Amino acid sequence: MISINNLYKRFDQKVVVDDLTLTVDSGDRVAIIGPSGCGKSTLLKLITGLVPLDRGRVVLNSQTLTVDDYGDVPSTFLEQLGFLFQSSALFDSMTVKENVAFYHRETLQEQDESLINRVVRDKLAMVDMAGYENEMPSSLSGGQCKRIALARALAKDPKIMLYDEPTTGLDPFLSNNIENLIVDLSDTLKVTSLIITHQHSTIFRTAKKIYYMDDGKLIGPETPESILLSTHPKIREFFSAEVK
Amino acid sequence: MTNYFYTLLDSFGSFILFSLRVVKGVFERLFDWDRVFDEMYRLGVQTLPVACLTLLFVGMAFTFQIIQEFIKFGATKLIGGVVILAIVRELSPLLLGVVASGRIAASIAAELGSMSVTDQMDALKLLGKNPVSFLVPPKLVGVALMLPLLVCLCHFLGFLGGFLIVFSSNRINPFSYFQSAQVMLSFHDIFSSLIKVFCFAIVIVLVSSYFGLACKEGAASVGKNTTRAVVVSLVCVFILNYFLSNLLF
Repeated sequence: MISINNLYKRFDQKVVVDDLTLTVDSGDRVAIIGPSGCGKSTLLKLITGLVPLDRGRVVLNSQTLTVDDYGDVPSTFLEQLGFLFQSSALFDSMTVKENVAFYHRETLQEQDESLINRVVRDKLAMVDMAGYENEMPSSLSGGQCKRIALARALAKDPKIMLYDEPTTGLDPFLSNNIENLIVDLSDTLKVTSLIITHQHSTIFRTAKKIYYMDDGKLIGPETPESILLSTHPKIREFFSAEVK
Repeated sequence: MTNYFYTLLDSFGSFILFSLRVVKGVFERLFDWDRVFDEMYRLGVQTLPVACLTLLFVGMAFTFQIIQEFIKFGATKLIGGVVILAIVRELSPLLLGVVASGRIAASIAAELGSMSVTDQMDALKLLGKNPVSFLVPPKLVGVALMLPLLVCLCHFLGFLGGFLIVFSSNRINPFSYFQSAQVMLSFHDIFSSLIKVFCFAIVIVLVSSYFGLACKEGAASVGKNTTRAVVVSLVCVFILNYFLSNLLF
């Protein structure tokens, strides 16, 4: 479960996240939508401790992140989190196998190569990228990089997955592929998913609940069915702009 | 002016904290030899051709400049000794420091900078690794081991460059070139030159890593910080060289 309480963040004079409270139940898939620059990605970075909180706290399955934890985020907090970056963020000096094996080899200092090989094989199979172990990220397409990044995140066996614009910049086929993966992983592994996106298809294919982010606050929740009927002017404007 | 001073002080403070974290990281990972060897090859061995060429030609140019004067004063027997002392004490460590500031500092700053702007640092953090103590210590150890080896080769090539000029001049006995070098050069000179480049290596890696990791967003910041890393490394090498020369010789 993700529980965000009274989160507040300001960069200079601009308030990016304003006293935001959100709860995502275990196994749920929640999308946060909104126009570019509204603070969606910052919210994800606040949840992970990559950006320091000014106020508030984040609780992930009883592990708490507070203002004091910046720079020293508890490992028990990070262990639960998987994160898919918009840019994939694969380590470009490492092969696909080394990327996926990173958590076990470097963080857990796992010595058993057969275990590492099994993890890599399983996770690559999950994202339909088996056989790419020895490829370098630079030789892969954007969609393939996303899938490898997802396999790397899943290697931690996270209880919570955060997706930052998972389908932005991908063609409709690849978007569809990633969206199916998000849903499958959530359904089969019971992973709690928080998806930041402004892609129409991703919102409707992946989310059970949808929040609209505006001026650092969340509006909602809505369901994929109800959000199109919303009378909130910002939401109407967002969807009519997408359609246009 | 006050703001500028505070910014400078703030940057210096964070550089000191950064350096302490790197040093701690070195002892925490005693040692990740695979990655150290990678860095030794990538940063050290690949610097070899530039460093060798630089010192060979500097040795030749230096000898060419002094040879006329020494002939004038009838001190040709001292040429080998003067060349080897100039090479070992100053030219070789300093020029290797300059070459390393260009080649190694740029490489480290650009690599870490591009990792920063493509979210790879954030990915490292979320995978439970601190980018500073994970990425920088192998570079520090690799370069600190490699530069002293390189400087020995540079000494040899600088001296060889001098010998080529002496040999081609036909006016100086090549044997006296080697003999005066043997008489004037001491083990202390060689050891001190190793200490010099060891210190340069540490400064170059720390400065370039600091600027690389400080990249915020976009390719422009990578370019800007890479330039800064090279310039600051160069200035630090020159300043450090003066104080180490005073201290060691």
